[in-house]
Amino acid sequence: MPSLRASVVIPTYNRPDRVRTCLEHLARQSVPPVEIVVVDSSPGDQTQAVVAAADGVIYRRNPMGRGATAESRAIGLADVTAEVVAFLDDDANARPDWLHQLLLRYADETVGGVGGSALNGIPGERDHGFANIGRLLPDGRLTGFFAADPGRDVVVDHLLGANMSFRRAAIDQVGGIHGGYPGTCLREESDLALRLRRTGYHLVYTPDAVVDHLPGEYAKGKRFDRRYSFYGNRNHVVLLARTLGWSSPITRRFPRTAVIEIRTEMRRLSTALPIYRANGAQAGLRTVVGVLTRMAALSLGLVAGYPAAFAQIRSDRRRSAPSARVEVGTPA
Amino acid sequence: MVSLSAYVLAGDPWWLEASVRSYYHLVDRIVVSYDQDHLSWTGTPLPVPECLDLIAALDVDDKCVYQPGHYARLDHHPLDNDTFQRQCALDAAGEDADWVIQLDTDEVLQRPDVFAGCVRDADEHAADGVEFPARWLYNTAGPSRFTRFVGRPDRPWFLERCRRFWGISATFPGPVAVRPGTQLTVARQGAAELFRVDYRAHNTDTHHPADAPVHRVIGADEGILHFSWVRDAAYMARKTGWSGHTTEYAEPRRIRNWRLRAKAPLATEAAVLWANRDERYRLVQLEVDAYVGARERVLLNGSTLS
Repeated sequence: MPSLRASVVIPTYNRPDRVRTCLEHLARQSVPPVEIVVVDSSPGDQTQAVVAAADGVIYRRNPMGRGATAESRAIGLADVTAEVVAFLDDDANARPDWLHQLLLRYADETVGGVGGSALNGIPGERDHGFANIGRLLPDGRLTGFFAADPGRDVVVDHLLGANMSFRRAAIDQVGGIHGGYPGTCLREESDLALRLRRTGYHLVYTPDAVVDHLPGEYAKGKRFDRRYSFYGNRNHVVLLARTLGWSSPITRRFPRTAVIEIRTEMRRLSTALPIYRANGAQAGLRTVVGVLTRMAALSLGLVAGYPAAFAQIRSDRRRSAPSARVEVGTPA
Repeated sequence: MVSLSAYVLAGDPWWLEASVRSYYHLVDRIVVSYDQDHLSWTGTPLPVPECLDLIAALDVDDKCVYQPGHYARLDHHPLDNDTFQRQCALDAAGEDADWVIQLDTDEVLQRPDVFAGCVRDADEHAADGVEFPARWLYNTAGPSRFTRFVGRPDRPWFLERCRRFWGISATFPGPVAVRPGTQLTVARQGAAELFRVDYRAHNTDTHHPADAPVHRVIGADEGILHFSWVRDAAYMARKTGWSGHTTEYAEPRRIRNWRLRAKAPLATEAAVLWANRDERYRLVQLEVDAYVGARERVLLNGSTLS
């Protein structure tokens, strides 16, 4: 049996049915959590009703609404008492030994965080990407592959927000959870992980701690894709500058990485002509517009990232100044 | 702790000594694979005894295990024979090892400690092959009016494959370290999950896409020196007959260009601007004293001023 105990925090926005299923799966854990905190940023009270019906689950509100997942995590963190805090997405259904598997890895005291697999139901997702699980590449990109099963635990640089856990003391040591990753909330989960890595903690990915990750209802469509591209680059610049600093070679290399991605996207314009010939003018035009708008979203995101990063770093400094009142684990 | 072994295909004595010496201290065992009839993958004679003598002379710790076999199967394509010989050697070298080094005999590790660190990293990250960058050297370049006035007089000049605008280019002939049990598909290739090292954070190999992932960055003098065509003319003429790529190498145009470029290195360097990606070469001076045996020294003396 693991010697440590865990609490679970579930940030959610407007998905009461998913929260109900998620809580049902948590009730079946072989090692029960000390407490479960659901942090709700939705406008209605349906989620509150779902949580009230569940036994012993703590309900907290995040008044910031949509796009404030990191802030929700921080609100949840303030309520937990266990040595380890596990974060679970509302659309992630934990398998019965999920928490047990996560906790086993904390026997090594150098481990500051443990994440597990999030299965999306894609054929073959367990079988590839082993060398690229959870890496921060020298060019500034983050790799995923959090469904891969290399047959053993792997040391990683960051974890997936849907299924990750941290030593509570380690979170406190690095100054709590950073907010300030708006929009689609991309990269917010990597902020804490990268700061822990910089402090010297190890992060471990274990394919044995599994959640079944169902896609969200609103996460689709071209509009979502453009927002995803914009906030992906914007929040990425913020992440690198805040966690590694402006002088880090990785931060300095990222603009070139982003330009390569934009150039790769531009090459897709060459597919417009064959599409036009095969499917007509409308389809060809749709391809051109799609490529151009995605390029614009990526470029604007990159540019918007720099003032946002400067502002966040200034705000981080103000909060950590000796005269400022420091509240570990409070939202940014 | 990761245990390493290696295999070496004994067939070409050029740079062999330097190559094996560069990783000898890293490995517990080296499988020396050679054709029992001293024939190449195309059936032409190979200087195998000379290679075996060189290996025996440097094997001071009795790490080498000799494995003769029949690899000149004339009813197979030379590349299939190449792959087959490597697979036999890899299987033998993989017993009791975590990783197997598969360097060719004209590839020399510049910083074995950096290479070993990359293998450890790859092991930690569940990769099953390490792609380690090589600087691909095409030929030596003799003293010219230009080289007389620049650089150091005691260092040889080489023509090295480069990117457009003379930037450094890594070449990856395949993973140079793999886990035992890897099934090779073509020559050294076969590992699926590759840990990729490069000289820059953004891919520098013209045969990979610009966004190919790079897992670790090393310095320009920490990779592999691949003395690919750095041999004397008589030997190169023979080599074209036994390589796995023999049909490609044996074109008279290739040998003719190779000679011409060595004679006109500045024109070769200028041609980088319009040459295709496999024919861009830049002039570089390299410190290779540590790698040079008697045979190589004769060749390199023609490209220095001292």
